[in-house]
Parts: sequence; C-alpha cells; structure tokens
Amino acid sequence: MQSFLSRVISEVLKKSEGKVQNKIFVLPSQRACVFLKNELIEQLSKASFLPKIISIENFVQEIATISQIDSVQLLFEFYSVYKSQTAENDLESFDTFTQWASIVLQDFNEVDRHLIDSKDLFVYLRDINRLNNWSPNTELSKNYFRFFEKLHIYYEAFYEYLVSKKIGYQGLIYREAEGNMQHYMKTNQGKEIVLVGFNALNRAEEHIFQELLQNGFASIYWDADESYMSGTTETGVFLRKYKREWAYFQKNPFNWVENHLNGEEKSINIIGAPKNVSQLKYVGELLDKQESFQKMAVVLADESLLSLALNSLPRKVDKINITMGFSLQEIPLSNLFNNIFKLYLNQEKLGLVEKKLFYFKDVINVMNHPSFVMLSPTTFDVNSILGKSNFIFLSLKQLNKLFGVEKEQLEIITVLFGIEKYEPEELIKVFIKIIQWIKLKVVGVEKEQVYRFYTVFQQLQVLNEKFGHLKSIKALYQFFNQLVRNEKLSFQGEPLQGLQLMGMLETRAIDFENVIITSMNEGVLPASKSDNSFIPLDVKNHFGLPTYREKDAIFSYHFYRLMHRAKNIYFIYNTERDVFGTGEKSRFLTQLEVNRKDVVHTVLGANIEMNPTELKVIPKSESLLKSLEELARKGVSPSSLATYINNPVDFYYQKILKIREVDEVEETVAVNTMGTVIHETLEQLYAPYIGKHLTKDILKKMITQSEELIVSNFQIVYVNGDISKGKNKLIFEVSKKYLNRFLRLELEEIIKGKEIKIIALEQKLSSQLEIEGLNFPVTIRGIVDRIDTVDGRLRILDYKTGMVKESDLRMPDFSVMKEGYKYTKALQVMLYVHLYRSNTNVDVSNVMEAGIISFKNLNRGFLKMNFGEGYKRDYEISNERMEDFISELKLILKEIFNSEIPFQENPDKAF
Amino acid sequence: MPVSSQFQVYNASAGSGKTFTLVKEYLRILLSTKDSFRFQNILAITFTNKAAAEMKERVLKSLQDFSEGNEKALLSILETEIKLPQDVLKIRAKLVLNSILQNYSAFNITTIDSFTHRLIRSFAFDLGLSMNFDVEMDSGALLDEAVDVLISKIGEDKDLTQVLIDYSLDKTDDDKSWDISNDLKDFANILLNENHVSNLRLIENKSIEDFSKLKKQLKKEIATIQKELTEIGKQGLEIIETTGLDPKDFYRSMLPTHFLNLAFDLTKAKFFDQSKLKDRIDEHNFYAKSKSEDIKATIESILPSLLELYSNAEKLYQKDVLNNLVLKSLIPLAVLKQINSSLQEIKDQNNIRLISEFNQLISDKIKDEPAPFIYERIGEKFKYYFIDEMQDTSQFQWQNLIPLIENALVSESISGDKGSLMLVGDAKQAIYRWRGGKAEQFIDLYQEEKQDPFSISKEVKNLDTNYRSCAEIIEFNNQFFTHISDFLGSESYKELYINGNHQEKTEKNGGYVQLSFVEIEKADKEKALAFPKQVFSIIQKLDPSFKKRDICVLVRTRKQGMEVSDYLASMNISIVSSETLLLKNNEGIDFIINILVSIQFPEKKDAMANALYFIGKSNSKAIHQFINDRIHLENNTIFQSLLDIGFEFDQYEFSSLPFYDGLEYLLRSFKLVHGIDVFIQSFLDFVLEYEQKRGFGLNDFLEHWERKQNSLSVSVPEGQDAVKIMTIHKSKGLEFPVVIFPYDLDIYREVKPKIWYDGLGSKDFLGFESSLIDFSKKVSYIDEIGTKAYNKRREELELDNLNLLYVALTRPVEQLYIISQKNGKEKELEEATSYAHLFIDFLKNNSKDTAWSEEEIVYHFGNSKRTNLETEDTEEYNLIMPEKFISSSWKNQNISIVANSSKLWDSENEVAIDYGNLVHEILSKIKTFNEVNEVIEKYLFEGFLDSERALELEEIINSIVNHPLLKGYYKEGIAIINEQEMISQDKLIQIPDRLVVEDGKMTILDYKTGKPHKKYEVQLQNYALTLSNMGYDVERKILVYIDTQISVNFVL
Ligand code: SF4
Repeated sequence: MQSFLSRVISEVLKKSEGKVQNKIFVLPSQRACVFLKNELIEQLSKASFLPKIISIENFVQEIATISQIDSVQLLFEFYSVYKSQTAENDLESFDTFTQWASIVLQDFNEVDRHLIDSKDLFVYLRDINRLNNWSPNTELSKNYFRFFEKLHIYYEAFYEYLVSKKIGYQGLIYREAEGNMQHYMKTNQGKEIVLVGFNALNRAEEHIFQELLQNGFASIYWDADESYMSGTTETGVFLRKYKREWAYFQKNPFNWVENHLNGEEKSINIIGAPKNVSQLKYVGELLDKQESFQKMAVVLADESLLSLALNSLPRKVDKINITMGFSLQEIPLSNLFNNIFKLYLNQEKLGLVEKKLFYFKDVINVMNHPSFVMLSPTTFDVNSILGKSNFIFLSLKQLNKLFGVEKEQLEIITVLFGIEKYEPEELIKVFIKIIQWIKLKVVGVEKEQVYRFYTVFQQLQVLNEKFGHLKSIKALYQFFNQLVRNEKLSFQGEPLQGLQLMGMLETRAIDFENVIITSMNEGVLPASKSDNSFIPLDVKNHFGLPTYREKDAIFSYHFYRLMHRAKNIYFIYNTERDVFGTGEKSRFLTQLEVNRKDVVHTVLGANIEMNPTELKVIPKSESLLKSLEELARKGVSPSSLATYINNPVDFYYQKILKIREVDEVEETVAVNTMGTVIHETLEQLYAPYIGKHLTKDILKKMITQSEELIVSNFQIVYVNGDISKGKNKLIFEVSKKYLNRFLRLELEEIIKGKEIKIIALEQKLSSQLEIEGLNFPVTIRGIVDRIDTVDGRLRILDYKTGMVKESDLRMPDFSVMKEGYKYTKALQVMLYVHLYRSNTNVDVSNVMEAGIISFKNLNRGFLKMNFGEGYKRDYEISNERMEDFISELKLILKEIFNSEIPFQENPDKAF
Repeated sequence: MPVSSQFQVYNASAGSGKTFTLVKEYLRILLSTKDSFRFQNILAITFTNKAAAEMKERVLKSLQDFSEGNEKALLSILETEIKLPQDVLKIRAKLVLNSILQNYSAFNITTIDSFTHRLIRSFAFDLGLSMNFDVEMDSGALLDEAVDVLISKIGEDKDLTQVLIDYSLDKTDDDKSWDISNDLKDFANILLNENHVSNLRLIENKSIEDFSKLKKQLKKEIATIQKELTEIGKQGLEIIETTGLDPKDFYRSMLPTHFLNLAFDLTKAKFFDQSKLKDRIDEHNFYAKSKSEDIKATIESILPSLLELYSNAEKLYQKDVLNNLVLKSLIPLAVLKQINSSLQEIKDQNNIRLISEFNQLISDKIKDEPAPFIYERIGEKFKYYFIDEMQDTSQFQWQNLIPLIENALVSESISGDKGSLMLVGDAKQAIYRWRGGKAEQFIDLYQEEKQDPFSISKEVKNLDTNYRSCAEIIEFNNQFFTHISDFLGSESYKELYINGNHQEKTEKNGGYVQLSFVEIEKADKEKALAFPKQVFSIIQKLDPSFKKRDICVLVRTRKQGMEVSDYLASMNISIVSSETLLLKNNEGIDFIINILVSIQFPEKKDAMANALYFIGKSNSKAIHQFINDRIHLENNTIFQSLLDIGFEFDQYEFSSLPFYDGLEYLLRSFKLVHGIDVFIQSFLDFVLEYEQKRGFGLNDFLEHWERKQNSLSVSVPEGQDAVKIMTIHKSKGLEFPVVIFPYDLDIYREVKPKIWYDGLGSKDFLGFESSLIDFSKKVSYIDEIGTKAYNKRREELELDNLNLLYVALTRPVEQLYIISQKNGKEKELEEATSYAHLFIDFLKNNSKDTAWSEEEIVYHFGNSKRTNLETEDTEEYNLIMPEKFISSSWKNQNISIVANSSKLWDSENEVAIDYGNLVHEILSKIKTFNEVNEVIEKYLFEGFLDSERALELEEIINSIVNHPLLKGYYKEGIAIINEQEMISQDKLIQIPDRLVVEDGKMTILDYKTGKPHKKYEVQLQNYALTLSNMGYDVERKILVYIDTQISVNFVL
C-alpha cells in the first residue's frame, strides 16, 4: 500500500511536473523529513536541486528570524530578568527559582504559542479572584494570586528582553513568526510551501498556515481517516475543527480523508505482560518469528526502555535504525561526575568545607570508579588502603600520602581533591581537567561520550561566566543533572532500511506495515494528565489553551494514525499497576476492544520453576586433604571449631582457601574493636598483679586507671578513628561503663571477703590430640583470657563483650555440642579447660570452674559451665566429664579431617 | 418509586454484591440524565487499584452490554429506578460509553491514595514542595537512615548527647543492648502513622530539657516511692507483730506476706489481679471461719489500719507503675522531633515525599481552603461521590473529603441537580487499623443516634444476601460468627457480628467446610512443616474437577506464606504468589550478586568463592581445585581463566556499559538464562527500575539491593494454573472456589505494642499531658484512664482479629478448609486467646456429628464432592506462553553510537583539522560577512567553543569572508545557496558548500581542510556537471583550503 508520504510526493510531482526546487516541504518532525526526502529521491527522474524539507519547528524559526535557545540557557536568561524585576529581599536563590521557573516557562510557552493576549490572561486571573472572593479568603489563595500578578511583570519583561536579543523559546518564536508573516511572504516570493501530515496545531500555527493557504503560498495534506472525521471522537477533534472553521476549506478540498481503519483488514493483537522486561523480551520473540524487517517498526511508548529493547533483539535483525538515543546519564562516566559531586556536596553537608576534609566513602566511590582507575598510573586496592588507615575523614595531604606514589598520580589527586575555593567555577575546572585527561586514553565511541560531557561542562562554564548565577555547587549539580538527562547519544544505523526502533512522536507521518508498540498503558500512552502548569484549568478552557484533553486527543491521533496503513499490529502492555493506579491498560486498547470485533487479547503466562535451594558441598579431594593436614599441624583454634560447627563451608573458606576477613574502614567502632579494647585494657590493668592476691586498694586503683587506659587503647586499636562523636562516642561510653561495672563487681567480691589471686592472663596454650583413623596428630591452640583462683579454687575465664546467657553454658550431655552455633561457647570454654589441663597436668576435679564473663550480662556475674540436667545445677568439672568432652571433640575433629565427609553447608547456620 | 436520598450508607457484608450495587448506583447517575458527560462529575474512591480497575471495567462492560442489548437484568432494575424506557436507556448507554472512552481521563474511579496524591501535586507549589518530587513507598529504610543520622550527631549537640548516652547507659545497667538505634527506630515508626498525630502534637513543643527534667523527677519519685512502700511494709508488719498474731492466723497468710514483701522484696509484692489478695479484701475475707473468735476480733481490730496501709501502698504502686512506664519511653519520645527533622532533611535532599505524609498535609494546609478553590485547582468539580471500603478509611482521609463532599451535596446546579454521596463498607472487614483505618467512623455513620457529618440526612441500607458463597459456607459462617460474637468485649462490636451474620443464601447450593486440627509438639523443624503438610494433603484430596488455580491458601504473615510455598514447591505443586517468591532465594540471582560484589569489592573473596562454586559445582569432585586455583588471583585473571569452560566475561567491558546493559551482558556471559525464568526477569525489572530512578552505579546498586532484597518477589501474571498463596490482607475483596486457611493466630499478640496514656495532665508531670508507653496489663493498674485505654485496646484487638478471620472465611465460593491447632488447654469463649479456642468452643456447642470431641481432629460440614460444576471460568484472556528469553548485545546488530561530534574535538596533533571542520561548519551558517559575529556567539553559548577559541575562529572566518579573492561572494545582495542538496542524474546526493549566483552566472565554492588534493577537484567537477544538467551556467569553481593559512584555488 502506498504510504502517506509517497502519495504526497506523487501528487506534488504530478502537479508541479517534476519541478520541486522552489518547494518547501514542512513536516511535523525531523524523522518525517528524512522519509519524505527518500521518497522524493526515489520518485525524481532527473538531476535537480532538492527542495527544502524542514520540520515545522525550524520553519517557524526561519520566519521569525529568531533562534531558539535551550532550556538551560533560557533559565539563566530568565533569572537575570527576574532579578532585575524583584526587590532585593524577595529574591530567591537560583536553585529555588529554577524549581518553579521551569514550569512558568512552560506556561509562557503555551500562552505565546496560542497567541493569548497576556494582559487579558493575567487580568482575568486577578479578576476571578476578586469575583469569587472566596470566603474565607485564605492565605494560601491570596498568595496564589499574588504570584500571578508577579508573573505578569516577569512575562512582559522577559519577552521584551528576549526579542531584543533575537533569541527565544519556542512559543515566543511562534508568536513572532505569526507577526512576521507578511514580511516572510514578501521576501520568499516564488516559493511554494507544502504542509504535510499535521494534526494538532497551536493557534500560531493555525494562523500561519491559514495565511499561507489563503495567499496561495501553500498547499496542505492531511492524513485523516473517515472514522474520525464525523462524529465526536477525540481523535479527529482538531481535523474536524480545521475543516469546519478554516475559510480556505470553504473552497478547497480537505485532502485526504481515507478509509483505512474500518475499510481494511488488520490483524490486531493485544498482549499483556508483567512489568517491562517480559514485554520487551516478548518483542524479541515476536521479531524472531518475522521473515523480514522492512516496513516494520517497534515503537517504545516509554522511551526509557531503550537499553532493555536493545538487549532484546534477536540476531536475525540485521538492519536497524534507532531514532532514540542513550541519555548521557546512563553512561557510566556520568557516575564519576556524580560521585565527585557527592564528594563535595557531602563535604558541605558534614560541615567539612572549612577543614577541606572528605568522607572516606565518597573517596572510595570516586577512586573506585572505572574511569578514575583508568587514569591512575598505578592500581590500588583503595578499600584496603583506606581500611588500614581507618580515616573517616581525609584531607588532601593524607590522600597524597596514601596514594601519591607517582608524580602523575599526585597531580590527579591534587586536582581532584584540592579545589581552592568551594565554588562552582572551581569544580567545573576540575571536571574539565579530568575530561581532558580521560580524553587521551579513549577512542571512538568512548571519546564521543567524553566529548559530550565536555560540552556539558563547557556550556555551564560559559553560562556561568556570563551570568554568574550559579552560586553553589548544589545549583551546579542541579543543572548538570538536567543537562545529562537531556543530552542523548544517538545511534548510527540504517536510516531507511530494516527495523525501525522509535518513540511514539517519531512515527508522525510515517507508515509501517508491521507495528509493535510497547508500554501501552495509561500514563504512558496517553501520558498522565498531571500537566505541570500554574494556570488553572478553567482559565485554560476560557482562553482556549490546551489542557490534558487536547493532549489526550493528540496521543489518540498518533495512535490511530499509526494503524492507518498497518496490517499487523501488536500492542503490548504492562499488567502490573503502580501504586497510584497508573499502569492501567491504555484507554486506546479499551476503545479498540469495545469498537472492533477483530481484536485478539492475550496475556503472557509464565512457568514458575522453583528450585529448592541447593546446599554447597565440597568433597575432600587429595589436595584439600593435604591442606587439612597442614592445618592440623599448625593448629586449630576454638573459634575456628565454632566456625566449623556453625557452617563447615565457612570453615573451608577461612581455613583452607584462606579467605581472611579484610580490613575495612571502620566508620563506627565495630563490635570486635570494642572487644579488643576491653580485653587489652583488662590485661593491662591486671598484668601487674599476676601471682598476687587482689585487694580493695588494687581494685580501686584499677577503677581510677581504667578510663585513661581505655582512651589510649581505643587510639591504638581504632587507628585514626574519632570516638568523640556519634555511635563511637556511645560505644566508648559503654566500654567505660562495662569496665567500671566489672571492676566494681570484683571489688564487691573482695569486700565480701573472697580471695582472688591472678594466675595468668592471655595465656597461650596448645596441645596435640591423637585421633583414631588419622595418621597425624591434630594440634589445638588457644588463648585463655584469664586464669585465677577464688578462695583457692581454680577458675578459667573467658571475656565476651556480646551476650552470653547461663543457658548457653548448660551442657548436661556433650553430644549436642556439634549441633549448632548455640553450643559453641560451651565448647570453647571446655577447650580452654582441656588445654590448661594438658599443659599443667592439673587434676581438674573439684578444684576448677570454668566460664564466661559476659559484659552484656554482667548482673549475672561469672557464668559457669553447668552440667546439671533439667533445672539442676552442677558445676563440677570432673576428669570423667573431661574424657566425655574429649571424645566428643574427637568426633568433631574426625569429621573435619575425614576424607569421606565433604564440607557441607549448614542450612540452619546462625549467621 | 422513592427518590434515593442524596446520602446513602450501605452496610455490605462479605459477598453481598457490594460492587454490583456500586456499579448500579453509578450507572443510575450516569443514565438518569441526558447529559452524557455527567461521569466527569463523579468521583468514585476504592481501596485498591485492583478494585478501581474492576469497577471501571464493570461500568464499561455494562454500558456496552446495554447498548448492544446483551444485558437485561441490570437494565430492567435501572428501568424501574430511573423510570425511563429501556430503549432510551440503551441509547443513552451508547452515548455515555462513547463519551467516557473519548474522555477517559475524566473517568475518575480511583484509589484514595491516587486522589490524595493528585491533590498534593496540584498544590505542590503552594505547599512549598518541589514540583517534581518522587513518592517513596518504603519509608522504613528512610527512618532507619534518619535514626542513624541522629545518632551520628551525638557529640555535637550537648543536650542530645547527654540524653542519648544516659539512655544507652541506663540500658546497659539493665543488661539490655546498649545499642539504642533499634529502640529509636521502633519509636520513630509512629512518625509515619497518622494514628499518632494528635498525641504527637501535644508533645511537639517540649524541649529535650523538658524531657530531661521530667526524667530526673521520675527517677527521684521512683526512689521515694520505693522507700515509702518499704516503710508501709514495715509498719504493717509491726502492727501485726504488736498484736502477737501469727501470720498464719490470716487467711493463707496473705496479708502478712504482702507486707513482708513490701518491706523486703518489692518485686514480689502483688497488687490488683496479680494475686488473689485484692479479691479477698473486696470480699472482706481475711481469716478462716474456723479461727477462734479471739483471733478474729484481734484481726478485725487492726484491719482498718492495715487496710489503710494497703490502700496507700496500692496508690503508691499505681503511681509507680505509671512512673516506670513513662520513664522507659521518655527518651525515645524526647528525640522524636530530632528524628523527624533528620527525616525531613533526607527527604528534601532526595526530593522525595512519603505517601504517609500526604493526608496530614492536606488536613493541615488544604482541607480548609474553600471547596470551589480546591476544585478549581484540581481542575475538576465533583458532584457525585462514591466511597468503597469505608471501614478502612482513615480519619484524615475522611475528614479531608468532608468539605468537598459537603459542598457537592448542598450546591445546586442550574438544572436543579444536587450532588450525592454513597458510602459502602463493612465494619466486619476492617483490617487496616495499623495503617490508620478507622472502622468506628463507619460504625458511627450507620448508627442512627450519631450525628451526621453533613447537613443532609442519610439513609442506611443493608445488603443481606450473600451472592458469593455456596449454602454450606454461608450457613457455617452465619453460625460460627454469630456464636463467637460473644467473645467480643465491646457491645457495639458484638452487635456487628450478630446483625451481620444472617446472610441470605442464593440458589448456589452445596458447598463444603472442613475444620481440622493439627497437634504440634515436635521439634522446631517439624513444627514449621506441620501446616504446610496439611495444606498439601488437602490439595491432594480435593475433588479432581478443581483446577490448581481454583485454590487459594490464605495466610496471616508472609513468613507463613513462604513456608507453604517452599513446601508446596518442593512437592511439585505449581504456585503463584506475589508475596512469597523472593528473588534473593534464586541461585542465579545470588550468583549475579556475588559477581557484582566481587567487582565492587575485590577484597571480598568469599563472594568470589561463592561465585566460583556456582560455576564449578557441576563438576563437584574437582570443585576444591577449581576454586583454590583461582581464588587468590585478580578478578580479571579469574574471569579470563573461565574462557576455557565457555564463559566470556570481561570486567572492563562490564564497567564501561550502562548499568542495565552491563547486567544483561553478565547474564549472557555466564549463560544464566535458558528458557523463561521469571525470577531473573523480575530481577532485571528491579535493575531497570533502579537505573531509571537512581542510577548511581554499582556500589549504590548493591546498597539498594541490600535494603530491598527481603521484600523483592517475582511478579507473575494472573491466570496461571497454579495454587495461589496470599496474605489475608491481599485477599480482601477477592473470591476463590477453594480456600485453605492454615495456621492459628494469637489474638492479643502484638509486636512491641505501645499505647498513648492521656492522663498525665491531672498528675504532676511537669505539664506533660500524654505519653506513649509500653502496652501491657500494667496499663490497666494505673487508674481509670489506664483501665479504659487498656480495655479499649483489647476490644480493638478482638475486633481486628475477628475481622481478619471473617475476611479469610468469607473468601471461598465452594469449599473452605480451615486448619487450626490443638494447643493444650481449651478455653472458655470469654477467655479465648486464639482462633483455635474459638473454633473449639464453636464445635463444643455444636450438635451431633460435628460436636467437638477430644479424639476427632477433622470436622465436616456438607459434602466435599463437588456439586456445582458450572465452572465459571475466571479466565478472560487467553494465556500464551513465551518461549524464549532473548538477550543479545546490540553491538551484534551493526548498531553503533554516532561519534561525529567528537571528531571536531582538538587534541594536540589534530588542531589543524579540527579548526578546519569547525570553520567549515560555521561558514555554512553564514550568508553575508556581517553575520559572522552572531553565529560565533551562538556556538559560544551552546558550549561548543570557549571564549578563547571563539576569538581565534572569528579571526579565521573573517579572513575568509574578507579575503580579497572571496570577498565578493560574501557581500550583501547576491543570491546565496549554502549547503544546498541536489541529486545527480544517477540519484547521488551532492552538497556543494556554497553556490553564488550573480547575473545568471554561478560560482561554486567548496571549503576543504588540510592540503590540496586532486580528488577535491574531481568532486567539484561532478557538482558542476549536475548543476549544468539542471541548466545552470557554471562560471567558476573555487576550492578554499583552510589550513594554517587560507589558500584559494580556482578549478578549471
Ligand atoms: S503535543 Fe505532541 S504533537 Fe503536539 S506539538 Fe507537542 S510534541 Fe508535537
């Protein structure tokens, strides 16, 4: 079937007998221009100048001789005008200003495009306020109307200013163009304008078109369907109006109204799919079933799905043209800039600007970014370097010391972290410098990406040099974001062949035989009705400004027009709604279902395969067994046994693969740091008294010493950390309290008359165990926190900063020991007893107790191993019990070293 | 035919055709006017999106059916109500349908949240909100962050530091965790819940200092009271002693023991119902009848003073209870304001708002604006209101709507039409109190004696037929709920259940209810499986004509849901559930996360080990070798080593791709998807959403994942033939042929319950009026106010949980299976604390074969054989199964990114060319010499040039346009054609840079960069050929070389 554009060209060529040089084709979009040109070349039969083929937007600029400036520059200009019109103390900062100004600009745009007399509008707005005089006349409504009065002033001033500079936004250009028609026609005598494929026109366009038509300057071709030229459908609301109201059509035919929608057979499929990925993957599947991709379009109603779409094309699709682009925001490089912004924004947030310190996490994020890594002459393990240093906040000097091993590196770091003044200009310079470095390292597409960022910063720099509005880094960030969001990297493809991947607006005036549209949902197609505007709906209606109704109607036209010459159509929508109910299937689909009988509606199903979670199993191979043997020689600690019991795979990781836990920056004193500090402090406090009896005076002295010791131990263990703030402060205070309470409890004991004698502290012990079936002994080693005697009775103590309950040490039967993490505390205590016993040959029975001091459970004092059954208590560590324990221990060890039993993940592990 | 009132309240028990009634009323309003656009003035508010969608669909469907003559029943009802012939209605229906479809945006059937959101958006500017804020649903994570920020401020602010450290140390003294974040987070939650707003306002202006003062005072008082109590104890003992009485002379030594405890161990002293003593005192029963008169007399003689002591102690105890309760939560309350302001900061920074704050904002700032003003701002004027699920509407939600509705009800249109309001609800199905839902608002509305919110009086109607369920189920529920209504403490709640359970049946006969009990006393693991196993066996035994999709398992919590899904899945029963199939449990996703962690944190070797395990596990024997050989290498070396086994992944490639792209690349590289995998797809959707909304790269993504992973589950389309598993809350409004309801529930159990105690004002609490305290029996000891609050809370819990049960049991159409629990003690109805007690009590009062007996664990009502076989197929759409998961790199498709503009970009040795290109481009924009300035300025502004280079370029360009040989071609008044496209005879496109026509003769100018070359001349010749083919007289052909110098070359 002949496409609309092709028919237009045939018609024009026929009428002009092949002479097109003086024509100017005006089309709704750039894309349509390309297609029209192609059509023209196809149909032209001899050498010729090509006529001008131009989008309406550029056409209007030409008439107006005003050039359009982008939204960013516009905001800068607007702020200047705003400043000149606003009293000093009412002045808002640039970033708050832009919040509302961008919406105001949209309103100005509409007002101008529709040639509304601004005075009328603003006076009207004021008058309805007076008229209604709502009681109570609230502060809110008063402010609202006061705002309008100001808007009027800004509008007038801004308009005048822009016109004088011959720059403007779209609406202004339209208004000026409309006023400039006479002049245009005079200077362009002999041109013939062909208006092609329009639908909704703003009032300026209406005037311009009519003027051209009435003066015989132009001809016009519509792409209309009978089904909406009569009746009341929103689809045809504009076309019907023009046909009815334009004087031109009193005498001239309304070309063309055809009967595609109801007059031709079409295959229409509606397909529901949950969320986005399944929609686009299904598109891939549909494409895979196609024979050819000529005259085929995939339309992404939601253009943000581009990268998903690009990853879902079957190999078969060999030629493709993409009229959308990746936004710069999606390019990983933009994250580097984001990270740098964050670095400085957080500096401000955390009050570190004066001190020029940086938050370590931000530093890591910047230095770990692939582009930064690429720049560095040396590679660093940033996390662990910072981890070792443990700085929470870093200065340039410290960074240089840590990373500046080479001159080049030093320079990069100095540029990046060393801005002189906390000002946007400075930061822009940093960015440009970085870009220039990166530039040297990349080629091709990546160079293009870098370049595009370069222009972004370049633009910001120029604007700010000229206007100086950007006063804060925050404001700079805001604009940076806006720019990278709007800037698109486009694709190189086959502009006219193969599959067309496009957004809805680009389909204007172009026809396809096969069409797939995705995201056919309310809120996308049509877009949601929340239009950002300050002008109330009633007022818009009164002045004939477009409202959501007109927007809906425009979408409706786009939608139905695309169906005109299509034969196979797939509409895919998302079945999942979002919280606010958008995501309903598009009304257009509902309309089709109500009005047509040939619609097939299906929903994608899915098989849900649930694989039961598989547990990790690592069989013990030869080499693994060798590692185990070595481990046996070096020694197994109580805590690694605990690890094994909790999860054998963790044991395998730590002891066989030797994956150690790594140093990370401790932003807050981690719990184990706290443990270390308390252990250390206790050791230092008690060390002078090894072999002595504790007295009241000793303990009192310890109490006074403890605070200072804690402080110094924190400084040693928690390098560079700050314990005067935040959670650290809390932990510091808690550690103090723990020690204090512990020492006081001990003091009380002494006062009660107990005799406590310290035997040893942090005692390193080891012993070997022969295990049946193993041809090597297994070494066990461990450090006992404290050994003392109380009233002559030997005690083995383990300090724990975490919570240990009495029940954790209840062990009437050792066979449960290997069953779970919960029993491993008892296991550890028993191991210490065993180690002590085998090193000293003491007969433990009746002279020994063993247990834990839990600082989180100090009220319970010394928690002892308890062998009593049920509610009975029995603290006696007899030789017999030790034998029982050791045989259980051997069972565990035997399992660890058994070549037949693999390391198997424990599904019930505690952590 | 009576005219319906403007204000109707419908009481609609489960299955009573609520939606039908709503739709009918909606249609009545639509069709009783000639104006086919009346729908624009109707606002219908539903509770969920799903309900809104259903109502929309039904309205449209009915209109279509009317106009096509396919529907009779509803139409004839409307015929009598509207009093217009069906023909007229048919025509109107057609018109209305068309109007709606053509003006769909004004078809306002929506959720209250959407409406609120819209309102806020319309007023964003006035409220000082950013105009493009995002709405955050996951407020929990934000609160956590806010609390962390607060804690990080310790050490900065003196007062704050003091209270928080003290708070932490106080907790340490009690051997509680010193970490106060969790306590604060618990408290902070109330900031998000509108139930607390009014109380929070009361403490809003208290400073931290005020709180500290109160704390000090309370601590002091607590110490004093302890002393006083001990004193009382001693006095009591002394009095008894001086009389020489033996403690045993008293009834069970109760009174003496009490004093003993007071004197020596306060924790053992019991008051009120903590022991029987209070009862005995009330009965005046102090000694056994058998005691000698002497002893009796002695006791009587000292009783007055003992009792006085007792009651003094009791008063002190009451005070003490209150003091302790208040003290315990004082500090979290004190810093609430600070947490709130941290929260505010976080929201501002991220430009987000919480959905939970909307209602309050409206209430504070918008509600009292004149209704016409609000209507104007939202751009729509509603006259007719429909509100569904009124019982779950919160106080703010309702109060915020009242002014708008009132305006609609009283104002009259020119044609004399008045607005209307229809409220539909069922207090028995109120299950959202925790979210602010206030059933009492609805209950009040239909109680005649309560005052109406509007000047128009209401009309209350009851819908009393159950159209949903089969007879047996209706019967069972009627009996069961009527019976257990006695359980409810509150009379008005009780009434709900008595009145609401006389549901009439329809012709749906048959149906089946089975009530079974499991006994649970085994080990932990078994316990978790007991219910799932029962569910499975019920599914196995179902009448085979049921399809899997007819079955729905209802659970109270997601955790239960997961237990059931895991078990059923392991038994190969296909299931769907949007709540229980967590993404993080999927192996492939776990692998992806491990790889991502390894890339971001190369030092986290355990992640790499996990990933390697996943890759190598198919060859389990060699797995150790496989991992061990690689684990200590650098990432990229590891990845390279995987090439041999077919995995091609390059970390650098990954990092250079946009994030979503990178993820698909990863999927492809490791061949993670074979067929359609809903888990992976849902994960990708998550990634995509992440990239669209935040997109800050890998590190940020991993943090995001960390926060969200526990709630992310697969999204699956409806209509699968699989067993549904959902929470009762989700099931509201839905129906299923078969419902299985496992698990018991403890009615009074709450997680860390808290309650506002409002009686501080009358006591000496330094001007504090109310405080949030832990909720327990103790609250009832405080005083009258405490008792009331306690009872009210209990009554509410009873209602809420009975409601939940009601919702669950009224979902089935044909069969209902309840699996409850036999847990030791049975309890009387009044003492019941769990669903099981209720079921057992119900059975006990049953007759014959369904009467409770210890031995029987299964009870049947009706026949499990299916009778109504007319399977209403719920499937509206056909299901198609996608077959492939296509993931391919777009780079395979001959697509590349255009890299043109950077060609112009300078680098040391390209300077010349670049200048040339730029000059070239600028020249094409210039018609006459005096435009140079303007054009360059434009380039400058758009960021293509810096000012330095602009100057240079300007110079070069000027040197061209002013070049003695070229000058003539840039003057004014000659015909210029810049970059005019033309096609040659053989359809090649040619673009000469500049054509100048003067006196009928043409000159061709073409700019070239770099050194002169022969090929340029050929090109120019070709241009000339085409032009002369077109009939031009080409006089001169000029090549302008732009290099370090300008050279002009005339081609012959
Ligand atoms: S609304 Fe759509 S069709 Fe109309 S001018 Fe804007 S982009 Fe073009």
